[in-house]
Amino acid sequence: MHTDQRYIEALRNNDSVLLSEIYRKYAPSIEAYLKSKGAGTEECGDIFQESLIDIFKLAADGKFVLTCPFEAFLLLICKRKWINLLKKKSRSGVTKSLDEGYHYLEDGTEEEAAVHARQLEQEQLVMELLEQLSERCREIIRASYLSDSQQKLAEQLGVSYAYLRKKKSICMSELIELVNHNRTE
Amino acid sequence: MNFYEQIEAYLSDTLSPAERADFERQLAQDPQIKKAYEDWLYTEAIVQKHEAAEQQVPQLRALLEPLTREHFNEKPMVAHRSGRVRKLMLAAVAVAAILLLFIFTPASVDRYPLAPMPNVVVRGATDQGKQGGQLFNDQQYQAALPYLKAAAASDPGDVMAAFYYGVCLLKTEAPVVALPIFEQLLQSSSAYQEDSYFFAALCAYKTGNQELAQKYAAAVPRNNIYYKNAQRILKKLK
Repeated sequence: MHTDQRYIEALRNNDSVLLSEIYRKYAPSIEAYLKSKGAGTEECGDIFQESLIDIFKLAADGKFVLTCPFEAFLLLICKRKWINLLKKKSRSGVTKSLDEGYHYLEDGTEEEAAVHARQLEQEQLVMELLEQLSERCREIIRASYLSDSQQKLAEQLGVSYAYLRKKKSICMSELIELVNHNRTE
Repeated sequence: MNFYEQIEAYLSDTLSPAERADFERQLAQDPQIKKAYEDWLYTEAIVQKHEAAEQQVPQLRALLEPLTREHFNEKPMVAHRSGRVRKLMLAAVAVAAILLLFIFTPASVDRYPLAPMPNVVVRGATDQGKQGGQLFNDQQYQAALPYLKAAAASDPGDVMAAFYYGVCLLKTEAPVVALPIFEQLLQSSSAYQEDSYFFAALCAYKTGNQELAQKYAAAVPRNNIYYKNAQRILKKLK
């Protein structure tokens, strides 16, 4: 575990002192980096904030262990968000990765950060694929993880408990197949 | 019952003891069922985590938004009203002079773009890094040096202070001292990592270490703002 794990915990615990420290320490350099790649100030702020929220979601269950400096991980997420934003905007000459041509000399940190970023992307993929299911499936899957009792949930949805369970297994199988089809290792 | 229904029944604890034992036996023996079971657990854990996290995002966002506004705002330029036209004229003359200098001066390795040190004009800023940064941005490199040195020494994790201290050393003709700073930075995975390859190359070039200069200059990525400057170093080394 890296000593910067405290920033992960700060995101999980809404620790305003440490959150300020994250901005004070990393916002200027990451903003300068993103601006050097063509981002505007507002875009830099949005990317920085949304990257922190993504890291929070990844670590929300308390199981995530940071193995590299927080800045390296945050920078990588910000970089990838900027690439995705450029792709969406379809600006010219942005089909290449910002990392292209980047020769790392001896930096295991970058690899560790990339492992974390890959985990985040895989998890985001699952959530994106969930959106592709039917509205009923999304409702059943989502509600089943937020409800204390499946029987109460069946009542709330106005269906029988047996139907709810059968429908959930069908919806989960659809989601699992989508995930397996789209997964990249 | 297909195996997804079996998995659901197993996890919701609705199988009879005999069915449960039978399912566990299949799980141990059938790779297809085992894979489906693991995929279910993997997918379920992610959905559960992200759905629960989503409920807490508004609270976190409420904390982050003021910080984002504070740290990512366009700093207004200081406007001096008196003699504005005269100053604009002077600025135009200065720009023209710089352009002429660039046109008639042969390409030099010392001609490289330099972004001002960010976030130095902050209300009540008194720390070493910000004072050094203000002097640096005013191109008072010699005066900025002790402040940036102190800022970099006081916090080894402050890569921005280290980077601008390194550039300051380079500007004050101390590339030997600057080189190890950039070598450290190019291993830091920070926002200054890419740029540090160029500055390390420039330090090595200025200290006559051609091999090292070549190695670092060649590592500057094509999409980096210093790529052309790095190529210039490589050309001079040929």
